[in-house]
Amino acid sequence: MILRSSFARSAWARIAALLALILAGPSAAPANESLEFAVKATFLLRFGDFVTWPETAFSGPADPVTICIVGTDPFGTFLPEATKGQTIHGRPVAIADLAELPSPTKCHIAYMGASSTQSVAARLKAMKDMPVLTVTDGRVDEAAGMIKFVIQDNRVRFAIDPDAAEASGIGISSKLLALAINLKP
Amino acid sequence: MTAIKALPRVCGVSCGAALLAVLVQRPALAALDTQLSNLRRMSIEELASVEISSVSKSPEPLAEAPSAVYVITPDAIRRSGAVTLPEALRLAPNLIVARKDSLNYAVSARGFNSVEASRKILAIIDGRSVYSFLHSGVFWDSQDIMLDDIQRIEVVSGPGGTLWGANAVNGVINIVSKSSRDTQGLFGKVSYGNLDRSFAARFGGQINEPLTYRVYIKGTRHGDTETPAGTSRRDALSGLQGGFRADWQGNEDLVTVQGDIYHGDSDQGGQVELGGGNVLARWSRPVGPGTLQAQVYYDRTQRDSPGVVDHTDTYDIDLQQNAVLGAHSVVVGGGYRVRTETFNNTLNAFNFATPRKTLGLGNVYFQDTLTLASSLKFIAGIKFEHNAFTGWEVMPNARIAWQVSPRNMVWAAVSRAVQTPSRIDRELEAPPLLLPAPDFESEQLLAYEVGYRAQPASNLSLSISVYYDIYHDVRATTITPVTVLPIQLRNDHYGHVYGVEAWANYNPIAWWRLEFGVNALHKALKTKPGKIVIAPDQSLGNDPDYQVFLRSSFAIARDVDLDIGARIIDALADPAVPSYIALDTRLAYRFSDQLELSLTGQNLLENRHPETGQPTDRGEIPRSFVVSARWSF
Repeated sequence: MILRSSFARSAWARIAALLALILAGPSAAPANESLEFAVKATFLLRFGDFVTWPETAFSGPADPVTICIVGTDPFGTFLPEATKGQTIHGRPVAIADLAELPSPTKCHIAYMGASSTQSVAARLKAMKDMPVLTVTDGRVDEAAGMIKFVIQDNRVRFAIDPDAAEASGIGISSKLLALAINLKP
Repeated sequence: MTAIKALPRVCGVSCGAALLAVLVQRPALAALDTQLSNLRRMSIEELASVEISSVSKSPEPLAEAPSAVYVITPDAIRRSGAVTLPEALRLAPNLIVARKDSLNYAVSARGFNSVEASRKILAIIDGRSVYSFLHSGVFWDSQDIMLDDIQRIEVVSGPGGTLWGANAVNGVINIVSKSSRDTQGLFGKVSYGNLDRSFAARFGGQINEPLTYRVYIKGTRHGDTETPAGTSRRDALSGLQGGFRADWQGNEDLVTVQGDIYHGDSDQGGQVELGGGNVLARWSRPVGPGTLQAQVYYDRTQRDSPGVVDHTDTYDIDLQQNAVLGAHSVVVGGGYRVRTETFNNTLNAFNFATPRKTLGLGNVYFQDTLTLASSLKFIAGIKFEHNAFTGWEVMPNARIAWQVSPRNMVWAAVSRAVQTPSRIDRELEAPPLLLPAPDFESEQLLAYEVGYRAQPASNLSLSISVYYDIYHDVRATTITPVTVLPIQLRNDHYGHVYGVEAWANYNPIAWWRLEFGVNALHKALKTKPGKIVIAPDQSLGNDPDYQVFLRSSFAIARDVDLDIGARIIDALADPAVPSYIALDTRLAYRFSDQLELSLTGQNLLENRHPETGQPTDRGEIPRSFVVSARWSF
């Protein structure tokens, strides 16, 4: 009986996840071949070198740095290619596609893709004060995570919210801060 | 400038060394994009300064539109070993590309493939329309641009009239070159083979922070094709093209000025001599809730053969404004083009009553993309175009895109497109053989399309589209009953064409990429009751029922690429062309980031094969090998 109900629970969880997957994710084209998303994918990886996480964010020294794509994945093969064989602070890099937050998957960097089931603001709220570097995209939503991609002068640039990062225990190097643009007037 | 006739000679000794010297921009470590492997090596500051594709800087109607669009990447062009633009177009599974002889190509989508009939596809190079005023087709030998400076080629099959105008009847080939900011430094390339050859050199520099430029020169020899017996037809054409591009990037303004000049002629005694040039300026800046873009260009095209002159001057101005207004993303624009053509034929009786004519072409268009729900978009647009022959033409389209899930999109479209008459359609005459056709009307297409795009896994993507095209008033060469003569070009064909185009891309492992494509069509085009026509291939084309594309790209080692591609092309009915399998392969070795050597073999399975045209008139394409070297600082 116990077996049966745990099976039922996990089946329901899968169906729910499947539904979420079917319902999620709106407009972004699935395999965006443009250079813009290749650059963003590379940035997602590179940010890791300029960011520190609290010890508690990892369960062990061999634990990977996980980049989560929440909602529609606009990167196609760009992200797997950019991260292949790469490390962040000596840790391997893993990629996870998620429909919603929070999620049992432990994320270290979370990119907020388009989604019809959960707003970017709701996802940021779900991640609040967790040691996750939240990355939003001006193309998807105006809500700003710790890092927000914007297009400026036909280049991919980003803004940083150092206060939000600090509140979550994430350290951002001065080099990255210097490269960021200021969105406030 | 007898130009590149001299290429083999000049290159004989001095290029021997240069041949060993050519270049490569980057190792494409992971058989994906060169761009991507470039990005991997960049510092974070360099990343922040990469100029992203000009098409995504503002709402880009074409790329985002739910349509059958295939993108040819710079990496794919390099790995194809192609020396000329039409050869690179063979990469697109939604195109039919057939070479008739040394210099003439038939390039079309969704049918109508022959040198004479391939005039329903619009080719654009950096915003400049390159179809001929004379017959509405494209002289591909006159578009000898530098392949290594191409950023992307978007190949859209299906009507694009709403945005691109008449002639974008069943396809658009949009060639976008890189910004001069992305082509800095010295670059050289030499390709030497038994069929096509070329050399190219480019220098890119920066005058100050916002202003960059490049200059280039390219020489190409479109080699001799062969007779069925294997002797040379001596139809080679050699040409030289040079040009420049400058980009100025202010805080908000982007200004591009570019130009090309070229000359070419037949190796064996002036059968064809071509020449021309163009200069274009484009300016864009954010205005209101979007971007305003203005563009002007001038183009001169000459194509002469003994007894025949054909000179065209084109002036064109275009304006476009994009804007995002709530759930609406709109694009509105317009343009005007004036063309003056002189065509004079003293070789035979086929001529125009008025050899020199100036005709105007104006258009306005509007398209709205309405986001109905986060996963549902509706697109509607219309173009009004005025031409001197048939007056106002209307080209509307409506599309819907449903993002079923993050990785699955279904789209559908209904479009109307027209092909307006060319000068040949209306004015060509040769009394008493051929009467002019002052009543020749626009050919019309009503197209229904449905497509599905998916990315079932991060290493697998696929696209499939089906279409049903209904044609009215298609051109026919109609004869007079009983007496046969005179003949006249008339709108005497009609009917439908349906087909499917599909392609998939699979990366089983990082260093191995597989591509598969298929393209099949069925034509049911008829002659109006009571009419008798001749030479239907010249109006309706002569198409393979199916084409299959297979390509495997290995990165055998960090510095070694091996590409193997096959195209399986079904037989053509009339004139008959047997089916063939073109097996191509390329092996490249990178000595360093600066230098790459490669060996390309094409059409390896057969000594030679014909691809299109009348048996008396066509050349056969021989097996060929090209040694190529690329070199950059």
